[in-house]
Amino acid sequence: MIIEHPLLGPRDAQEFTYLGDASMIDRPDWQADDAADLFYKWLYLRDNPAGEHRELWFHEQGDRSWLVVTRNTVTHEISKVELARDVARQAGRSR
Amino acid sequence: MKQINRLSGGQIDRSQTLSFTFDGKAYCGHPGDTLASALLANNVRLMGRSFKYHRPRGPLSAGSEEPNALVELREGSRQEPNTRATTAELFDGLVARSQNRWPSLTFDVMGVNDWLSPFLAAGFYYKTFMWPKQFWERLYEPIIRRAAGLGSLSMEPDPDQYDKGFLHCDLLIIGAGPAGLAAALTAGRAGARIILADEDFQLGGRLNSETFQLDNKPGSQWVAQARAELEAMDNVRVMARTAITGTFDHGVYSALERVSDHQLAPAPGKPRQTLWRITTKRALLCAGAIERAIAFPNNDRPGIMLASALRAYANRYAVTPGRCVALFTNNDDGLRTAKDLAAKGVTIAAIVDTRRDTPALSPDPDIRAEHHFRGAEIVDTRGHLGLKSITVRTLEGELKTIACDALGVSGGWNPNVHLASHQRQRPVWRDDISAFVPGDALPAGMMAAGAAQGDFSTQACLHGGTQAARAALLELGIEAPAMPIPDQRGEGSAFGQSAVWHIENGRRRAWVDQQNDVTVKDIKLSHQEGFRAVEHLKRYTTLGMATDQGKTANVTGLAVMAELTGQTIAQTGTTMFRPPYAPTAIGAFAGRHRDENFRPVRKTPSHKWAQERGAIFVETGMWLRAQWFPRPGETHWRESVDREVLATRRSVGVCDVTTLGKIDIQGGDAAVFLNRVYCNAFAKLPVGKVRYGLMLREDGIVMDDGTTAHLTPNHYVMTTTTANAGSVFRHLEFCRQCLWPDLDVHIISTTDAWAQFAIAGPNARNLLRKIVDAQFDLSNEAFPFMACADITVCNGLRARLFRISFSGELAYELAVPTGYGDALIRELMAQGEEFDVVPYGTEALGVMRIEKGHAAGNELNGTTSALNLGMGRMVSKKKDSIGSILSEREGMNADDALSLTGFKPVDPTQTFAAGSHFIPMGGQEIAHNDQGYMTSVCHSPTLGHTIGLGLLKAGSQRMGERLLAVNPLMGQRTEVEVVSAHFVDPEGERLRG
Amino acid sequence: MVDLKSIGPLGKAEPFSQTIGTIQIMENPSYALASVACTAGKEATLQAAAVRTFGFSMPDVGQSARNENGDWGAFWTGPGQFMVEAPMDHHEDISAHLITTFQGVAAITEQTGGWIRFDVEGEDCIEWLHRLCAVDTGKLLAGSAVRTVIEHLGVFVICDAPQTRFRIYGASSSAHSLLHALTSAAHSIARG
Repeated sequence: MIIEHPLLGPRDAQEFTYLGDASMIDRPDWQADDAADLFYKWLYLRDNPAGEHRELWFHEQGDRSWLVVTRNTVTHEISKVELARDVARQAGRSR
Repeated sequence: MKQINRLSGGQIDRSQTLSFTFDGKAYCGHPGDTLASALLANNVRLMGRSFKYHRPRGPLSAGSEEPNALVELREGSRQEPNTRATTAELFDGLVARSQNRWPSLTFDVMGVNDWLSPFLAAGFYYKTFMWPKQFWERLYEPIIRRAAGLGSLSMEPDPDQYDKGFLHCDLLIIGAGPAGLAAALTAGRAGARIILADEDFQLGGRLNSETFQLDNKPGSQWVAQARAELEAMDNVRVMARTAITGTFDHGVYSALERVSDHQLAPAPGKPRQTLWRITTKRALLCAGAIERAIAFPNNDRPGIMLASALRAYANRYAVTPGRCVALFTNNDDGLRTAKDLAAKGVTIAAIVDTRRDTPALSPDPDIRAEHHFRGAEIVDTRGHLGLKSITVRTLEGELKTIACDALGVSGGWNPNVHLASHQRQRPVWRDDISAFVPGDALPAGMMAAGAAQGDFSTQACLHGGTQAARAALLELGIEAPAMPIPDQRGEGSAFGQSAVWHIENGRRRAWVDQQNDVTVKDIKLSHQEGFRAVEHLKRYTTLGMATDQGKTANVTGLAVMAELTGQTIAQTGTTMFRPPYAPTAIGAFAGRHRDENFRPVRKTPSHKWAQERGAIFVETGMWLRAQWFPRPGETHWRESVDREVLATRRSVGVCDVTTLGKIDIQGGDAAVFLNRVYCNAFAKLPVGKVRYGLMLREDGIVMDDGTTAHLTPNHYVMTTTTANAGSVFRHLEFCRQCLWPDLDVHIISTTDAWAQFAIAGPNARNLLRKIVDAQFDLSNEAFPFMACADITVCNGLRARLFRISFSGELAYELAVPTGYGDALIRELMAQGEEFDVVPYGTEALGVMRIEKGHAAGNELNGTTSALNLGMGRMVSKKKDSIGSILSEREGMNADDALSLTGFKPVDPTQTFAAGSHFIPMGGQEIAHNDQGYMTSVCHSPTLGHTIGLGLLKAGSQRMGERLLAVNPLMGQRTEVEVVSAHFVDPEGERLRG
Repeated sequence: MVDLKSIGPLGKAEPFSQTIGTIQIMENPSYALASVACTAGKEATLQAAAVRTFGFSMPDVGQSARNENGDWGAFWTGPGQFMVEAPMDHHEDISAHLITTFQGVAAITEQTGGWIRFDVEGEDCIEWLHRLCAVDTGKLLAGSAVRTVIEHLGVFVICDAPQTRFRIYGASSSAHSLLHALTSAAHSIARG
């Protein structure tokens, strides 16, 4: 596999490690009234699409960036690669 | 022996003679020969025995699709089984042997299987060896195993090296036949970065084996010119002897280059083979086509070959397997063989054409055959160890026997769609050529051209290769002018073919897959028993499951099945294609990763010194750590370990703890960050202090633990366990980048930058005073338990000192820049002599931590929560930290949750093992009675008996209770008492002293 | 003067040096290293300090830089992160020096002992690198800095002259394994 790193260009998959669904970025608010329920759903309930899937990859043997890779789980085609930090900020995460 | 079957011409170098042996007999051949062509030249047609029936066999093909001529090459540790004689390049001194026969190739006892064949049909094993059940392991399996298999292994380690590598290109061209060469010339001249790979040692593909002319030159001469031009280009990498073996995601291909297989042995330091990973922008499949046979009765005798192979042997290798040859064909291409052989003076005994109205090429005045049968078929053959005659059933139904010593068979051509189908793509059927071709959905970036695409004429290949290369490059923004197509003469263009797949004649067997001995009858049986889908057919009959993967058999097999089911071949479909395309040695996958280089090794700064001391090492992850340091006279590891523990507790011991992960955490928000990744409070750790930290996963299970030191404002150093250094770093980066992207915090791994030693025992401070520079006050008041500081040692060397203790003793960890680690351990040993200092290894380290009741890897096993480890109260509920919310779940806080406690045998002479489960006294050893399990066990030299740590239901409330620690695997049942996990110094006075 | 003597990651007092075929592999122990991680929002201040101290700006993504007399060099290691090197002779205290230089704008971590540096030269460098890492090294220009994997080990590959001159930095603890990979790949392409 080849992942098109947003900063570094095409890089071999052997440089990366995989985490899973990019929804891991959306960590719930610990102070919410239903925090326990929110955390449970966030951690355990995942879609398993046959098709486009946004997932987290870590460029461990590279620049140590976490990436959000949009990959088709049927064809393995990668249609988009973003820096996870940017995705997190767009989702309103900050401090 | 004379090469009596040599013809004129060919691409062999007659100026040199190469000597070789086959089954102990000496023969000669020439450079340019394969083992098969050289044997045929010497009139050796019999080269092997078949897998199941041990039928005598000779080569069917002249290429890598060969099912029959599998031999053992070389001797001693280099002995290699199942090598195709048709691809093995001849070299001087080659030693080859036939296989799957005993006592000899001409007389094989197991040939009896052929007589037993009515009993050995498809599914025989499945049906026969079912009962009685217990016979399988004891009787059937050992017998079958002995009978199975083809070649034999040397049973010695492979002495050769294998290499791995990575290549990149704009365009990979797979196959260097007319289409591949045309594509390479087109792309190469346009300046694109290309790789041209072919599994053969000669480029050119069929151009070497045909007599057509290109630009008024023999095809081989045109090839030589093209090769020379390509090799002179900087942007072109020509790789002969290189098979592309697999198509992978995103334009990645695997290739196996046979670097030294054409030599007696690789040159010193040189690999035998190199496994390449080729990253491509575009790839062009020009893999050509493979001729297929017709399944007719007794079609497997030595001397019966594909018609194209006969032609290749005659034109390229100047060899004929016999002087009197017959041809059996259902298409025009087969007739070319008759023409070419006749031109070389070989007698054509008969042409048997299944077509009644033979068009185009025939009757051709150049084809001189003694008999020319139209609308006829071959219904039987004779000749036990080699073909002697064929029986022809004429159009009129008359049977005629014709003497011949070789037979060429042509059933049409199958485009080589393998690599186009490696990612679940299915080839599509084309009625006009009766063959599968690559479908529209090719692997991303791939195109196909030439015969691989179903364009069988040379002209079409040259044209298709050029055009495909241009199209591929255009997608990359490179404009390539079309290559002028060379003038081509002598081929003709027609390809009239009638689809004839198999021929019936009573109960005689007709082979479809010669390597796995699958006959038409087996396919019928498969159909009869309901295994009709192609994937079922394959597994029931083993069709196509041999080392050749059915390259000459599969399409015929499924055509026969299509006939039986009444479906079309297109509906029947193909089985799944999977890499590798050609057999690949396991050694090539291993590459340089073998023996002591199986995986990389990390060495601690004291490694060299420990080696000098005779330390025994243990692998912990990639690290090699000293496990214990035996002294002269010590015969058992326990002696050394007990001594190290006692000496440390009595005076002072030193242990290399460099392997613990060390992560620099810096920035204005470093404290905030730590406070969130550790479940316990970290916000207010003062400068100069160290704190134990417990890291949870989001589900509340413990991820890792360690200490974090606050060195200077906004600068912390975290330690992790050795095993989790990588995963904790990854997790911290996840938290930093994905959860809190705007925190001002930096995470830098610094494990390798510092050599770190634990110095433990009542004399630890006294020893350190001799090392640490005088201006640093080490008194208990100035540098108490859990203090840390940047200091200098040995006259000004920068160092870090932490007062932390894993052993429970007065202890420090001292870090210096890695390069000084070796000198420091020597200095510590020298300065510690007056205190009888000992080095201790991981084993003593483990004993001391169990004695002290510290949790480690055995307890942090991915199933335990903070509560289980007795640290439930550490999980702060006043802050947001990873894992805090979900660790409050009811199920994880049950009253009878497992909790970490100590265990000792009621009878101190008794022992128990880690992994034992706790059962109430007198209880049965059943899961229902399970109360928990023992995680860590050691002999405590301090207490003089076995001690253990374990996870017990509600353990903290059960002190003094007696239980059974049972280990059914070892038949152990030991009565144990639940005690505090702190076996040594429960009040912690020593480490604070 | 410190009483202890430092040794290299290969456990020898003398640095490793060997020529195999056209490939010359030399351990270079004479540089001290420290990593610099820029505080978000302080990039301009960091660059100004770098130009003042080193005579160059911190390198761009995937690049390296070096000043004229070669006493300071730096390469990009990640977003906002750099490795800085200076001759051991006068800068063994590189971290202390950089902490002062980048006070308040970057986090400094000492890395000297953490790495082994090999300087490699030879006309067959690309063929050699083909057998080591998955990076398209034939396309690297002078100054390119890539972090990748050799033999499962994390490394930095820095191109000093296209096709012919490279630096390779690997973790010091696995120096022996890295060296084995470098030398065996050189043997396998050495001609004659």
